[in-house]
Amino acid sequence: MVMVLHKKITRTLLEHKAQYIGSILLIIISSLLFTALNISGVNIQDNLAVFRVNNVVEDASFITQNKIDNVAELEEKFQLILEERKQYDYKFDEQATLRILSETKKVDKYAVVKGHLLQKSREILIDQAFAKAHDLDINDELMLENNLFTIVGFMSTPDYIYPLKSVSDMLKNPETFGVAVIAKNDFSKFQNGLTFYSVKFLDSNKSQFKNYLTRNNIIINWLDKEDNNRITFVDGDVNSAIQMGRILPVAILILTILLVSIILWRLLKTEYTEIGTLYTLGYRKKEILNHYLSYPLIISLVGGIIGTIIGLLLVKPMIELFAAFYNLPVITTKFELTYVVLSLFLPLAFLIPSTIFIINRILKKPPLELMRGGGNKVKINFIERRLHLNRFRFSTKFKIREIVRNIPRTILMVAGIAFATMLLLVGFATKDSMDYLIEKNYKDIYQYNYDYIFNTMQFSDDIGGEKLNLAPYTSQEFKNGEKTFVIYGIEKDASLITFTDQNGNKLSLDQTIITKSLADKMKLKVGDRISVENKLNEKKFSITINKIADSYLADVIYMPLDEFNKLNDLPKGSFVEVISKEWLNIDESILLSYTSKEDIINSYNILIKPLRYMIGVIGFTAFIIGLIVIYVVTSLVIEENKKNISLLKILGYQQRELYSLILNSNTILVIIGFLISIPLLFVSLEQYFNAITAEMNFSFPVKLDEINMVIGFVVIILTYQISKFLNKGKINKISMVDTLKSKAE
Amino acid sequence: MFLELTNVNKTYKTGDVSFKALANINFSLEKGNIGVILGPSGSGKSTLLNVIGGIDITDNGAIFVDGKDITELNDRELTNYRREEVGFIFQFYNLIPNLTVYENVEVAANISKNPMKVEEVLDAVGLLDLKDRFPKELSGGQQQRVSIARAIIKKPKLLLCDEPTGALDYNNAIEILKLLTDINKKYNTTILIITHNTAISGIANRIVRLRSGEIIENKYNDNILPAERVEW
Ligand SMILES: Nc1ncnc2c1ncn2[C@@H]1O[C@H](COP(=O)(O)OP(=O)(O)OP(=O)(O)O)[C@@H](O)[C@H]1O
Ligand SMILES: [Mg+2]
Repeated sequence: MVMVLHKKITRTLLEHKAQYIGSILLIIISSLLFTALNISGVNIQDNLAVFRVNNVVEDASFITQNKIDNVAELEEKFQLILEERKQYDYKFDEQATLRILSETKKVDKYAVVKGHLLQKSREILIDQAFAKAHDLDINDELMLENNLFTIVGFMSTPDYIYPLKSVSDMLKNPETFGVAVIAKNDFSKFQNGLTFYSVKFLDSNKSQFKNYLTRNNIIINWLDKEDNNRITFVDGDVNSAIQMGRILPVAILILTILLVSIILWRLLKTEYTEIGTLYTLGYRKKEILNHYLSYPLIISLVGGIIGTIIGLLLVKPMIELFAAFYNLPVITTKFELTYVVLSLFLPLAFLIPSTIFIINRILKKPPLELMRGGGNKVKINFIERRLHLNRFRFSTKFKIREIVRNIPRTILMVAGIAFATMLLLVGFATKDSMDYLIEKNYKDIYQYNYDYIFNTMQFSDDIGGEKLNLAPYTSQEFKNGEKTFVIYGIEKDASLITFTDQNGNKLSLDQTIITKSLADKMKLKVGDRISVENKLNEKKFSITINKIADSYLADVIYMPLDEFNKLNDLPKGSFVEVISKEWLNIDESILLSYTSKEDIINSYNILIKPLRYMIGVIGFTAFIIGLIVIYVVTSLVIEENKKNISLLKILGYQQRELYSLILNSNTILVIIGFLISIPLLFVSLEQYFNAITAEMNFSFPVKLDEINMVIGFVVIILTYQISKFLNKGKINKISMVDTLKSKAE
Repeated sequence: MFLELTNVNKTYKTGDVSFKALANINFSLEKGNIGVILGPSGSGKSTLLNVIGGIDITDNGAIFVDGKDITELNDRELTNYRREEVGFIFQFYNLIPNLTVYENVEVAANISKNPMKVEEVLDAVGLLDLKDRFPKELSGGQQQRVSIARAIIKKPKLLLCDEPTGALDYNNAIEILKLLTDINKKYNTTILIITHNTAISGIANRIVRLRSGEIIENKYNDNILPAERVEW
């Protein structure tokens, strides 16, 4: 008997195929994103973890005034692994620098991605992105300062996962920077190489070790792993992919619940009499429930399975893309059964309970009431009853009633549009926010073109440019414990860095200024006093915040140079950084790093390129989701109005008038959905950006250009028009004669 | 003649089976007259009314309404014909449940070139007090009056009623018939009423009887009764 009932399912599915296909598509998108993002994200995380353990990622690297001769002794004494390293920045061409590193044996051990390990002299391994950007391949020869090297492979190292020239950079650019490794002995071929040390602590002896160095040597530069963008950036990105892989699918599933519930509700209502009849025939409630549950079951399973399969197919290319973007070796890829099971199970977990609830509510009714077709009786809800619409035009009244009549449908429409718009605009907003960050900082705040950082403290007055001193500090007064940031000493009359406050007023440099991003993270106000500790020499002092600068690019504090030097017990006039509008002729051997603004802008433009595809892909997904929701809602409106449409045709409504009356009733909902999506987008993106930049040394203000809002609006309206167009046929198909036969409501 | 049908045929096809619903129908009605079509269930009454009203199509034959053959009209013209010249009244009222009484009448006024005032029509059918109610809050007779108001607001030349009293008790039915005859007198509207209730033919100028899609009787009524004297 039950089998007979199931024949009906196929017929119903086919009869309303658009609605069910729409629901299935939404679930496919949801499962696909869940599987692809989570599995590749977790794989990357695992790979990273394995890579970091196997290849011994450093805890810190530092530069000292004098060479350390007693490495073995220190390793024993402080329970650490210490490796002396060398680096030399080779000018590859006009604009590109290839940083040559000495081969590592103990810390930050390099991994070969392709090719083989260094075996003999004059062999070199380089990073793949740089190779690609400069048409280099394995077995190619490379002339470095009159020495011929052979490329024997591509490598990655745990301290250059994200190859940045300077640790405070944010943007990598393989066109202008890459790293390479050569044997230690080959390094003697280069003069002026920089010597530095990488350390891995086996015990928590960091401060003892630093103490020892401060007493017996001088630490010129100390960089903890946590403050090293080359090491940490990748974590934020993987996390944000995994976050997306959780938020998006769930949001889409919630939308699907609404959609499927409304479709089922509608189906059940038209089948009241049949349900009543089945009851009187002796069917049990459970059997009827099972019958109706087949719909969400089919939808979730078909959508879940297809989505998971497509998602799984995307895992490998995504991991490879990610590994190539970050210089990462792919060590293992795992199938992550948990996520596959979850991806199949989630749609069921969301849809089945909500549909059981809906079906039960109807099956609870007494058979007699069902038989009488109680469900087809129109209920006038309290809002409709209270509406006083007499002053409106007829078509306006009709549309208002249409919206008020079916509240769940209206909510679905608004929520669907809002969600699609948010998704559509999220890419634009990300790009606009980044643009803002770059524009604002490099045009308005930092007006220098060249930035030189020295590898030792400088005192000379004839280098030129404007002098800065800086050191990394920590403060304990942060919500999750410690916060690291840089404090700069800047000359009072410096002109190449201009800060303004929130209102655009210029701030003078004879006071202590904190950037907005750091102030927000540490919840600091003007007048607050914080105590800080110098990470190089553990010197402690307190400072009072005088002004907050409208800048997000870095978590930093600026104070007058003289005061900085005094607080740090440094000679008056000492500095380690110089900024300048013109290029300065400084001997490279005394430089730790050198950047030009042009490089930064170029890097940014290259980095932003893949974002365009991302915006495209996300935008397209948004378009599809919007189309599904609007299409299904519109088709529901038509179905619910079938009798009315037939009647309106009899009364002499022309096609155009019918379209406008029935199809346009949702226009206002589309506009409302769009309008609420904008503030919603700002709030949620702000949360999201804050979460991913909390541990980074800059923050992201959310910006969205008006033009992109307009584009978003146009796309949404276009989606709306397309789904209206697709539904016109449905209206035309409704017959005038058929409906006259059935008894009306 | 205001309404004239000549050799009208209509066949329904379902799959391979075809069924002749109207066979060679010829009859006419003068302007301002009331016609009644009688016949048992399934005899083709509704089909006939629907083709006259332009909501269903014929196989062949001509249907002249006020000098115009509506079987020659295209979709658009047919829609305009329904919008301006015909009013429909159905057995089950066919009101739009989510619109108030007032708005249900407005549905027709909204697209008509020169409609009467909604208040005036509602007053004429005696429903002005109930104009903000929804259909389900009305009795059957009241609902039928709304549908009459909706049909006459555009001042149609032809009023087509399919079992207008079929779902009503005797008293309500008489009220509706009275309303229809009043409209007929007041606006000189030609009215065609379908019923299987022979008694109703008392109010008609012309009586046509159908069986199995054919006309078996077509006669003048010499003894017209006022609606309130009709009995069954
Ligand atoms: N769409 C259709 N397809 C096939 N046959 C139809 C269709 N509509 C009506 N018929 C048939 O045409 C015949 C006439 O139907 P019609 O509705 O005109 O009868 P009626 O005289 O109005 O009956 P009643 O008094 O029951 O309303 C009937 O036998 C019916 O079965
Ligand atoms: Mg009939």
